[in-house]
Amino acid sequence: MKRPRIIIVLGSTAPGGRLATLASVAEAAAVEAGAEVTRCDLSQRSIPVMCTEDAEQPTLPAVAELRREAAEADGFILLTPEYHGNMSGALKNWFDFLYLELAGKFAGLIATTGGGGGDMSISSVKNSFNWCHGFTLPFHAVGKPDDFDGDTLVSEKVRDRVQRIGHDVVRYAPVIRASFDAAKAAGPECTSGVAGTHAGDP
Amino acid sequence: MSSTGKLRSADAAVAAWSERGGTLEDALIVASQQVESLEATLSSEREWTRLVSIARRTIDPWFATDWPETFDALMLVLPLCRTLDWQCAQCPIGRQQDNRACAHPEVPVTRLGTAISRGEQRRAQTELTVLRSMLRHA
Repeated sequence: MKRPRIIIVLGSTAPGGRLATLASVAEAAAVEAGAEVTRCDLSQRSIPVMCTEDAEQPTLPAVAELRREAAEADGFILLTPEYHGNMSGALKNWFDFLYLELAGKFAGLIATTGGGGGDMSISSVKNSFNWCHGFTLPFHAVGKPDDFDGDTLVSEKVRDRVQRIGHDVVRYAPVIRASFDAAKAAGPECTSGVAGTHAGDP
Repeated sequence: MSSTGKLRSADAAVAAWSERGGTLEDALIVASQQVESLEATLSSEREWTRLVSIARRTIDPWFATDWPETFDALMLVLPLCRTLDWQCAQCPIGRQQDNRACAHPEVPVTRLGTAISRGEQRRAQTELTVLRSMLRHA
């Protein structure tokens, strides 16, 4: 049986830190659950700010790579720091380069905050992923300052939630993708649901 | 013998792989043994402190051929590199990380090395868990 392919997207332009700590916990769980996991650490990528008028952007290797890996993925674990009650600009920029690559895919969401509850950034990520016709796990995790000692995660509750997300994304992503692809292949009729609106898409 | 003593240098790991027969399966076994030795090191406060001090030495470790003078996380998997002549797309670990090399900044081996040099014990344990799972799925 083919192993689910999961991408963990770290939506910060700063390397390491608490976001990377939570990413590692999620990755360990996803690999344990049987997935092939690839990281997309936006602090390591040279992704320009998306400009619809720049015809060269799609040809940039970093952009082409970002789209290729997203297209091949079955599911995603998306992590964002919460900035001003929203997802990071880096993660939003990642979304701006994608659309069809996320349709019919599944995602689990994780945030870190400087004190807020994290619901605002989680909601914004859910909104963007759903806008791209992706499906999200109705359960998320948020790491707050008190959950860490430095960059070390000390909250077992948060660790548990992040691990559950890792397992759930591996569990549901292939099911959602297979159902969506089957509906898409059935054609544009109303009975194909949202996938029918993508009939004929690559 | 201390757990850091059980961890093989890059040269010793390659020699162990060669003595076993030099196959891909042998490389996976030696890599698993290396991971097991490092896990023991990470679970001992005294050994962990020693490992961090070695990893922080500001010289190019170059696979830590002179371990325990230097540390390089690549020494965990080097027999696989040798078996497959550095063709990461053919490697059972490389294939699990989108054909990326274990020296790529976004993959578990590199992240493990970074966590150790930064003294992040829990993070290092988590990264090692990822690597152990990848070896099990290999």
